[in-house]
Amino acid sequence: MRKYRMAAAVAALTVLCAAGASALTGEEIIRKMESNLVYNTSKIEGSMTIDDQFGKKKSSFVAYSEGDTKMLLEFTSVEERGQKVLRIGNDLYLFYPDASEVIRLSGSALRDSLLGSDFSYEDMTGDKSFLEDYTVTLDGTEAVEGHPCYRITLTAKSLSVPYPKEVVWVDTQLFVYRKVEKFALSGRLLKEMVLTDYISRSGRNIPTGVVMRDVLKKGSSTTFRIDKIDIGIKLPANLFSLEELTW
Amino acid sequence: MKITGIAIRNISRNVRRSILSVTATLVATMAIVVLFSFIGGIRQNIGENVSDFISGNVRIRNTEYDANEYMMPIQFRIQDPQPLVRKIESEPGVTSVVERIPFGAGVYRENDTVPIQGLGVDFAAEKGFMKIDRLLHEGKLPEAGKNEVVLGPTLAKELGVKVGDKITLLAQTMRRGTNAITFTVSGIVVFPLAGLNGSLILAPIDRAQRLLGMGGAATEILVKLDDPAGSRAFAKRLSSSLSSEGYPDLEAKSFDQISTILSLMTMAEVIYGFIGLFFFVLASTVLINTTMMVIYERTREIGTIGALGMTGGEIVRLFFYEALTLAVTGAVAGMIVGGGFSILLGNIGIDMSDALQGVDLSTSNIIYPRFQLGTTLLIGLYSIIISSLAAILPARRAAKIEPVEALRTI
Repeated sequence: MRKYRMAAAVAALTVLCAAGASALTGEEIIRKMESNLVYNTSKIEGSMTIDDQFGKKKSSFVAYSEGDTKMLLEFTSVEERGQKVLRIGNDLYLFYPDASEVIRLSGSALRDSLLGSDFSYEDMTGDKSFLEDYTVTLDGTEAVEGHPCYRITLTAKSLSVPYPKEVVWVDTQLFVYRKVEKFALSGRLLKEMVLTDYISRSGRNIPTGVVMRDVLKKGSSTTFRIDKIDIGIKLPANLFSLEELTW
Repeated sequence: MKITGIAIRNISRNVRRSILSVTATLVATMAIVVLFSFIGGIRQNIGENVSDFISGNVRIRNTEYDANEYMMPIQFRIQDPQPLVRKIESEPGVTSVVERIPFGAGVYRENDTVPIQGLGVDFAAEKGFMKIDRLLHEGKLPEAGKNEVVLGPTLAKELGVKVGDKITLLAQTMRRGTNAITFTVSGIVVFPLAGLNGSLILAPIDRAQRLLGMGGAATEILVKLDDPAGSRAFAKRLSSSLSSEGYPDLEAKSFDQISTILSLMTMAEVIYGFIGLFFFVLASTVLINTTMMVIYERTREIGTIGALGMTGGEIVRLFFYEALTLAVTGAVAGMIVGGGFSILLGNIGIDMSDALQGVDLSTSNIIYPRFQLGTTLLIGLYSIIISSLAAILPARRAAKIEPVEALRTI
């Protein structure tokens, strides 16, 4: 009898939690998730490991960001040393050590792979909140790898975004995404991103391990890992500029 | 009097008519000889271009590259090509061996990229293979280790660059990342293939390897032989030695075993075969028409000689001998004039750049007709047979007509 009472209490608690959780709207959940991802300034040291038909290849990088509009990624591993990607708003610029001019990526070139990984340059663009580009629908709750999550469908308001539809599973406790599926206009699944690790810093839950899988590349996946992160640091004034890029 | 004697006398009796017959055979024979020399020149030209720029006589590639050729999958590479190049160079019957990397790239121009076809080559070795030094029109050839390229004049014009200018090549690396290198245009080369002049950029192979992140690898090794006819046997022998010497992923194919080249050459053969056949039929019509016309207009004469007692068989033989004499004269003259003309054009060449614009059959802009004695003799023999036989049918018909009826014919 006691056992049944305990079970009933747990069930009631679960229902209450779910009711409390679902009190949040889809927009509010997205807003809370994005607050975990955007920092005034940051410096990240990490690595990107590509696992495909050619085996594993690890590239290390240092990335600097300011708000959600500026980002500078510099590769430090031997093979790619000196290659830089600068993002200012929706514009992407590439710097290659052997090239005397900075290359501005536009059009279909944005869909090219970043160093052969499952990430495309396009994945790095987009300075606006999901809420500006997508219509948010809260589908309900679903567990991902045992973690209770909100299942949210994002439908693009226009075709100016890389993926017309995304489904995001947001952890109900941490407000970080546990899984993201990105779809083409036809409804075909293009990419799948899964969170593998996170850290809590300054009241934020920061994803530190992500596996991206380009479904169109058979047998390929890319693990993005953050080894060190500094938030709210002072960055050189001219860091996110074309002049600085060529230095 | 012997029938042959009468036939020869008949020829000299009406000189204008005889000249007409001889001229028709001469012109037809000459036209076919020149046309076939031209087609022979095109065939040779396609063979040389395919050998110089596409496949060599024998091509070695990774089998996976061949299977996915349309994707230019540079990851399926020849890891360390140099020892293999040196080994093949030492084989008997080999004249030249080169390693190459064909790749797709874009030339970055003010926020846009112009797609081009890149080819990483060893310029020193290519002097003996595609005779790259002879193709140089302006400037100099790139040096190994330097970021220099050469390109065709059409592409240079499209990009708005000249010798000394810089261009940035943006390419997908072996691991499908991207890389870019800025090159100096060291020279302009004029390729014999119009298509290449508007799309191909040649870079030193070590620079192409750096651009594509390929280390010291290449994607193909091309071999030229003393005797191209032995390509298939050489490729077979080389393929079996490759697998036994630690290169199990590599395969050697002769140029005529490469499906794309085979289909290209088959298509060219069919097209030029049809052109040849068309003109052959046209020339035959001229020969038959002229000969028959000459016989028909002499029906009255046939009636007369029949009335004088010559039998039908003798009449047919008389006209056959006459036609044969005229045909031999015309055909020999046609072979000499046509042959001479072919040899002359074979030296100066025929500029086909306007005619071949937009046509990609791996032919050069300038075609050098190739005089072929065997083909010329066969054409001469054909003209003689056609002209002579064309005389038999009307002569037989005319010989069967009663002399009185024949004499009534105007």
